[in-house]
Amino acid sequence: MRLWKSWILAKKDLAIMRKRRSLATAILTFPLGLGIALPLLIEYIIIRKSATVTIVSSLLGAFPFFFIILSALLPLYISSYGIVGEKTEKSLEPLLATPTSDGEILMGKYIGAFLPVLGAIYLGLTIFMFLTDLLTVSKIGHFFYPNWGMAIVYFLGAPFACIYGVSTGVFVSSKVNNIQGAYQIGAFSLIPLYALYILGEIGIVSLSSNTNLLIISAGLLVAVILMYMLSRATFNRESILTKWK
Amino acid sequence: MKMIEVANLTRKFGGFTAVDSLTFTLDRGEIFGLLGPNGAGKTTTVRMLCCLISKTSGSARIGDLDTSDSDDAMKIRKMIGLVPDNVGLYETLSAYANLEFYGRMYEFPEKQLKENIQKYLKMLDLWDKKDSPVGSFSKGMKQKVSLARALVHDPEVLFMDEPTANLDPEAAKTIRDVILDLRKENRTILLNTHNLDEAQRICNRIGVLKTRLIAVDTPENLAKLVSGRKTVILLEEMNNKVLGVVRALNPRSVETEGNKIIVGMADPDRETPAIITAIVSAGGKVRSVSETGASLEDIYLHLVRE
Ligand SMILES: Nc1ncnc2c1ncn2[C@@H]1O[C@H](COP(=O)(O)OP(=O)(O)OP(=O)(O)O)[C@@H](O)[C@H]1O
Ligand SMILES: [Mg+2]
Repeated sequence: MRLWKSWILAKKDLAIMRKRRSLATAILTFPLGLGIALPLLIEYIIIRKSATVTIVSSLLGAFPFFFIILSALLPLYISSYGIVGEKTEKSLEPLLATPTSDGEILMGKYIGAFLPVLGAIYLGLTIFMFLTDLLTVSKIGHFFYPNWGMAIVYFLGAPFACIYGVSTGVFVSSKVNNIQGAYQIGAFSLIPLYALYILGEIGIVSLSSNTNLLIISAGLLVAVILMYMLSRATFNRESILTKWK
Repeated sequence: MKMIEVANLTRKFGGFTAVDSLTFTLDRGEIFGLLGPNGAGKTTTVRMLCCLISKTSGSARIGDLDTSDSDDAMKIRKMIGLVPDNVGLYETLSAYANLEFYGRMYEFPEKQLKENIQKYLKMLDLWDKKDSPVGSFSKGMKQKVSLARALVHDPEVLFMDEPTANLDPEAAKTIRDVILDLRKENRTILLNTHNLDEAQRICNRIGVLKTRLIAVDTPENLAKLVSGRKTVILLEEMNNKVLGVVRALNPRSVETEGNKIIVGMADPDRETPAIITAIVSAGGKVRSVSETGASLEDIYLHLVRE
């Protein structure tokens, strides 16, 4: 595997993304929106509902989970775009004709979707931490973030979720020909994450517990490995040219 | 030296045989035309030779490399250029960015790549448009970019899948001229086409394909397969006396069409003067004499029907 080869392809995908405003906007809007909206929500709860420190802390503990969901959702869109885009432009044949292995091309697709999404997620998370600290420090008495839970989300949960989203996008878009379709089918693969969130909300699973966050991250890692193997098997020169529709 | 060596190359899709037992070779510097109707297996053949899809049986070698060996396949892809049947360009990117991307994917040195991009975009009249997104180009312009893409890394062997399909005559001519230039540079080219005239004009040899290779020969030899050339004699006025003297000379065939007498002969170079002399002495006034080659079209239809 020559990563520099994958990087050439990833750079090409990033260049296309910059040219497509709607795509670039989609990547930035959601993480930034969440990064700003969640702290404001907390502020509202503190002031209007005069919530106790315990309630505020448990809310704050669970919020980063939103970013895990978003980290999986966004790259679905971007990677479907990357593959479906090549399919509709019929550029897979000339691409596969270059001296590049299937694995290197797939890796290029991963990197091209992973980097911008994770970058945007990190930006959103940083703004979220910063604003939250600013708005809650007087109530809680100290800066709530950074903490271990956030570190787990930042360095394990979000990147794993992101790769999971990328692989799912690649896999699904080999089966369908439009980005909306790929995105919608892909979104189903995130049901376990939504379920976790609901379980968290009704108090069955604590999403602010570091142990639980670690377990969720480990689960995501396993899902990533499985999904990568699946997309690697799908992304095969021969079947791309003879079976993909 | 043999640049392409194909022996009993076969490809099946499920139970359906798309390409059946092809055998042919190309010397360095040859332009070989694969001529065949829709569904003949031209694209499938090129894809196998470019190591894009696998073969079911037989063998195919490019230079001294084997298409079915995975290490060789990587080297083969590096030394060949492909003009695919669909241009497959990135429409949001400029012509320049497209070529630059592919040049890098072909691991071609950066400095030479820049020179080549400039050389081919200028040669194909696209240099002024180098920064415009390819999506804004006409079909002919896109096809030219696709040709440039196949050339930027200076490949020794080129595969072109119907490079002039659906282009207007002028764009088609530009592309043909570039191909003829490449022949001077001693590149080896395999060209898919169903345009007979094109094959005749630019190929050294032609293989007529319809799942199997029906015939492989030079355009001239293929032309000999069907009854020789015909001579068209245009008269001021058609009359039976003139027609009588022509028939009396007993050529292979005589047809009339308005004021034209169309004569098929075994040896036109020898027989034509005698026929004209006879017409003139019978009082016929000859306006013009021309030849219609038994076109490849005749041969092609003749062979493909069989
Ligand atoms: N992936 C595939 N699966 C099943 N059949 C296929 C596949 N690809 C090609 N074929 C069949 O193989 C035959 C040859 O196809 P091919 O595309 O090679 O023809 P062609 O000579 O390039 O035709 P055209 O002039 O239309 O481009 C056709 O009958 C086609 O339907
Ligand atoms: Mg074809």
